[in-house]
Amino acid sequence: MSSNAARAYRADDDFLSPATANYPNHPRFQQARTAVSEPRWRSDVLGTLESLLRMPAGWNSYGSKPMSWDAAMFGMILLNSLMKTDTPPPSVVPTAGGGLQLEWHLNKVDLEIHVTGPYEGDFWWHDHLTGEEVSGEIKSADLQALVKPMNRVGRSA
Amino acid sequence: MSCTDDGSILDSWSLLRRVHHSQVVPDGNTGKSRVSSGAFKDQEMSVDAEELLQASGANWRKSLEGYEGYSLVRFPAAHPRTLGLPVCHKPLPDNSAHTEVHGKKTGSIANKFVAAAQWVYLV
Repeated sequence: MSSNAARAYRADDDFLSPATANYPNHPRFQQARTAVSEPRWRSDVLGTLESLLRMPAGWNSYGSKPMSWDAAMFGMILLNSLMKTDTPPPSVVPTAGGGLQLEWHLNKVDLEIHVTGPYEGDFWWHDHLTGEEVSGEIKSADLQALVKPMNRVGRSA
Repeated sequence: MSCTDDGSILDSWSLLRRVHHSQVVPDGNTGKSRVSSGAFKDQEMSVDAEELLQASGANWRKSLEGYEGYSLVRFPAAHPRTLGLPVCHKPLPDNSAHTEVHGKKTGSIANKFVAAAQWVYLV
């Protein structure tokens, strides 16, 4: 290491020192904290949405509209509200009218949330163990009906 | 467009639907690939009647001509009718087998299509 590099390293490393009163505000610390606390599903889903949003009209070979930004944004808002640390990431599927579907098929549950726009969509889930099948509409920010199936997909039966 | 089911597509026939790769999802409950119900949500869902393809000397491969990378599923023509959805023959200039299944497909209905669908060709 050259002396310049060594000086740079020491200067850069100051934020690790407990003696530095404001290290939590250091940009590198913030960056590291974000990287650790950012849930993995968020980057996975954003990556998928990014590629789905690039698909042109007619992507399904039957003249479908492209996915709408509004639907994609509301899908992310839903996930931010519903996902827990142990919830596996959903499959993200485009639908013909420009919407998207968030799907989980695991732990003996099928859960699908269809988003067509902000506060607009429907859900369906089926519990293989009990035979229970529930569907409904999404018309507001009230997501209470999705808490039970989200808890089911988040843990092994 | 309106759709009056005149019964010209027989219940015993099969309907073919192309599936984009983004609509094939892993199913952890079965360990297999699953067609997403999102593939069946068009209000006016286009399909090909397999028996009409065969009558013209073709087969299911005709539905995939020019659509590389797409998968194909088959379901019975009787199935949408059991759900109250009309099945109408709507021939196109370049596709005499073109047929449409009309009506709103909720999550529950679309998943009945998933249950009835079989893979003909899976990419």
